[in-house]
Amino acid sequence: MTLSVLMTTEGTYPYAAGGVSTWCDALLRNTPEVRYILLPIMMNPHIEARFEPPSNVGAIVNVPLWGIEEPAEFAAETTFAELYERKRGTTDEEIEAEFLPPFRAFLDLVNSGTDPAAFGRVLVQLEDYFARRDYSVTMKSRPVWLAFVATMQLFARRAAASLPPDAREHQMPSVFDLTECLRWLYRFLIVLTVRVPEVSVTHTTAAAFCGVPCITAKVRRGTPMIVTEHGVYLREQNLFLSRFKRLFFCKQFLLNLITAVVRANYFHADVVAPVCHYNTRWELAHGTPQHKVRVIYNGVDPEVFVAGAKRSGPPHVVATARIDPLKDIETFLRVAARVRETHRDVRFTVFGSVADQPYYEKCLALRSELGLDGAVTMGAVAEDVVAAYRDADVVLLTSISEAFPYSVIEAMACERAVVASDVGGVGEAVEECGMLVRPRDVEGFATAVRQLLDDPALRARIGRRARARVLEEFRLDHSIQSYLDLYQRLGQSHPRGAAAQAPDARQPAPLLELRA
Amino acid sequence: MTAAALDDLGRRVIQAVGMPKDAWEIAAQLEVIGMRDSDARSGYGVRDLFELARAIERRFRAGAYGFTLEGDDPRPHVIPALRFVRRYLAGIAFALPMAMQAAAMLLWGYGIWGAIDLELAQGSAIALGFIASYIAAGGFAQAIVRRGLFYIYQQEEGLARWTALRGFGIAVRVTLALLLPALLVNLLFRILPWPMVLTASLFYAGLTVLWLSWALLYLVHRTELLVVITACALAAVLAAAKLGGASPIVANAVGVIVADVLSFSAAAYFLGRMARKRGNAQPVNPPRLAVLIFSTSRYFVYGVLFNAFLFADRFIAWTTSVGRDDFPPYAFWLNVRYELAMDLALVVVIVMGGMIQYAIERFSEKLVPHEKRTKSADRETFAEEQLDGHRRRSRQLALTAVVALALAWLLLAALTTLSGEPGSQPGSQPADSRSLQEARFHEALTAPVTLRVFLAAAGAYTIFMFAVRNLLLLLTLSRVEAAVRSVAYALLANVTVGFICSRSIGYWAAVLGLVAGAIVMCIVAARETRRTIEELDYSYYAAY
Repeated sequence: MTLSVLMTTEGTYPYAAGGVSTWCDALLRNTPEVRYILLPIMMNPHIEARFEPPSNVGAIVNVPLWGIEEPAEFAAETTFAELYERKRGTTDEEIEAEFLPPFRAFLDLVNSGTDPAAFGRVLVQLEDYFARRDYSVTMKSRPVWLAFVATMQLFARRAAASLPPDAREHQMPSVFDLTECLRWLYRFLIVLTVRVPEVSVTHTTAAAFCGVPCITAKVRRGTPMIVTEHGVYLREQNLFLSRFKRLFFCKQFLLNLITAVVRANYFHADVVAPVCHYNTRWELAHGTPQHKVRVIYNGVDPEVFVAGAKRSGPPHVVATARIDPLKDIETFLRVAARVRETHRDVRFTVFGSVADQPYYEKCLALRSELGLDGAVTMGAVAEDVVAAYRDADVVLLTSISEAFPYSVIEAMACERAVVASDVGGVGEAVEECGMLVRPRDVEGFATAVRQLLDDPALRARIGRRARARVLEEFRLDHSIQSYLDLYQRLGQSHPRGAAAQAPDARQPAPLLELRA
Repeated sequence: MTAAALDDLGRRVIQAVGMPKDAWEIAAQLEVIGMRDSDARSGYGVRDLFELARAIERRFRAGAYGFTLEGDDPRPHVIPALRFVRRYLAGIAFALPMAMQAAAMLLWGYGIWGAIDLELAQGSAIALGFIASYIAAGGFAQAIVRRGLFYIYQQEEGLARWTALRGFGIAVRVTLALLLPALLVNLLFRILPWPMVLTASLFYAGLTVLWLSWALLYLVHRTELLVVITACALAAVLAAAKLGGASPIVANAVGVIVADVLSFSAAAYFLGRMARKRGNAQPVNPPRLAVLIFSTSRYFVYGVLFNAFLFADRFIAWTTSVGRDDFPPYAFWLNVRYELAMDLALVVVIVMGGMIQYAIERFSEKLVPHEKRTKSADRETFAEEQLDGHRRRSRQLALTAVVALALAWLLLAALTTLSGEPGSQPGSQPADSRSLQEARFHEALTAPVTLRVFLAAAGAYTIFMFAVRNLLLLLTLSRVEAAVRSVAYALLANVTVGFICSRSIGYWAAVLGLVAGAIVMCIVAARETRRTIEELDYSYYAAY
């Protein structure tokens, strides 16, 4: 029997480069015996694919959240007449009778952050509703707005009671806060309009909104679900939204929503497969039972990432990281400045795309301020990443948040000495085969880099140990086989079609892009 | 763990996050400042970072740490008078070309699509082409602008350009295709002579391209070019007529072609520049035609109905012979007095249009700050304050209406006086050889029917502009259905009253249809607007 897997992604494969996309592409390509349906949640429908999915991807169900006025725009198989009829059939009376009860329950569960089982059931009810009624008409209706306002005001009054007096004012939402919150909800719940066919296993690449179709498949049909966490989505969203200082209520609402979705992912998953042990801290703390957790490390192909001699030239320190605050490029620049105080000829390069333009501009300003314009190159993607590693004497990673970065194990496979911040699963990868430094410790990073630059024998020794460790622990084929084993085990426990008799009055899934 | 050490750490975290949502947010911050479980154990005596975060959260909730939240971005410094002038001019951008043409007609006897010396058959044909093009292009212009602006707000300028040009191409093909049934009907029923039909068709095609190109210029925020293009086209008409010796109809055709070429070239240039600005000139996965139709259909209907409303009375007046002393030979025949009166009344539209643009933009820019200042528990107060603001803007518009009516009347009086003085008429010869055309102009200005139509039209346009203010407000809040309803009822009233009155009282009474339509539009749009503002919190949310 052919295994069919629904693979869901969010902001990554196949529309963005990066570690998750690399992992995803490798998994799809190296499991030709599995038939995949790919469901990428994307910022908007006008993004160019960075990867060409392999032929075992039978269908791609794109779910754009922004860049559209309403989800019906990209419901390829919904005819104009059907759409019109559905809009006509979505009146305030129907919304009040059919939508508001689960919607209020949904909001209560978001605000309370408890009962992921009930949250899963409510998601199914909402999904069922949107199979019958028009999404946009419903979400933009007066009853929904009034219900949202009433529910959130009640929540705010309760939450304010536990805050210090000067914070209570910020807990009470402004009209603008509620407008923004419901507009965001409008975008995030678009995922509930997606309909996917029955599969053997669902596999979400983040415990995030892309896990919602997997959760509803689990609740509806018992379809086994795997969650792979590269970064810890909840942690990353907490970090991201901490920058959002202006509108506290909006931050709170988004984090409550995200927390509820993340916990529902963990709760409904049969296997939570983080890419490093470090991630399990957050997963366990948010209700994942220990027995569900199975760490599967990322792997690299040792035939591709092989050691090679460095071209002649001045000493070179390389980072492969996108320009993003989480990568803490500012610390990289400060380290470069400190190292060049004693080693004037060292060059520094950050290979990676610009993910955050304002941050990039801030880094450019800092580079000039530190007098590094001629010494540090950044903002360019490496054409040949293996050559980029080979051209390095030291590979430096200054991130303040990581899971199990490819850049570290790729550099290790290329026998390069790595200096990395001790965050996430970096320590698990490096162990004794590189140097770990506390994040943002400029002096610590600079000392480690200087030590390696001054001691070629030490670099070579660390590099050899690093490759040996990769060969033993972080091989791509091992990683792929682990996922395949999971698919087969879970797929056998839930033969596809067994649940086909389960009550499901919905129409066949509209797939945007059917592939041969 | 010492309380002092914990509080030092707590203050550091709170400084980074402002007001923390919960211990999880604090834990994430602790991780990125380099804290590990081992640090939490050795430095603070707690089991791990999560427990440390909870300890900090408890201290925060006990009020141990101060915190600051960022304020709004500082407002840009603007000079109110300059802002008013800029917006006022933007508001009359589409009316200025009409005013320039009217002035050119009076001074030199030529407009872009009209001339004092035109034969009435040719003038009627151009008028027919003009009205048909205005209505046919109206829906497409609305749709192109709506979808284009949507993509511009999404910072997808390449897509904005793609959809705008695709919309333009479809619009040109569809509007030209509409000529076929029109020609077929004329072939079957012989309504108009073929030279008239041919002239009407050519001007219909040329003017349709012009309106669509101007929609593109609006999309790229280059409406100031309309004045430049109109000036160039007028210069081309005058050069063709006065220097090249071309007949008025040929000179007009030259003017329309020049306006078309300049308008489309400028629009294509600025669309391309806009698309290249962000480096996304080539759109990826552009929307299907069905998506474009689906998402813009309501705006299309609005555009067609609105433009039909504007010219319905003229069409009704010029398709009857009741009360006419110019003995129309065909089913459609221009009446100069009626047209002259309507053109003079347009002063009201021009003067009030600028004020409306200013009021709408002020409403938009004040709305979000007001929403931010208002706690959701005070929604009713918010609505009342917005209604007060709406009433205040209505009073300002009423004052502007008084000024506009006075200016229109003064213009009529001044033209009547000037045209009565020998040698002062358009294209006039010395006083002793006053031409028949000049005498006709003065006669047309002073005819009772002109005054009657002018007074009715000025009144109708005043009421209409109040309605337009409300329609624009509704469209700003994406209440397009309400706007369509208002215009649809108004058009129905316009056509019904206009038709009955023109066929029973006389052709000029078609303007009473405009009066009735304007009143209906004003009432319906005012009611819809009031309802929208009364629940502005919801309306603004749903405008998303």
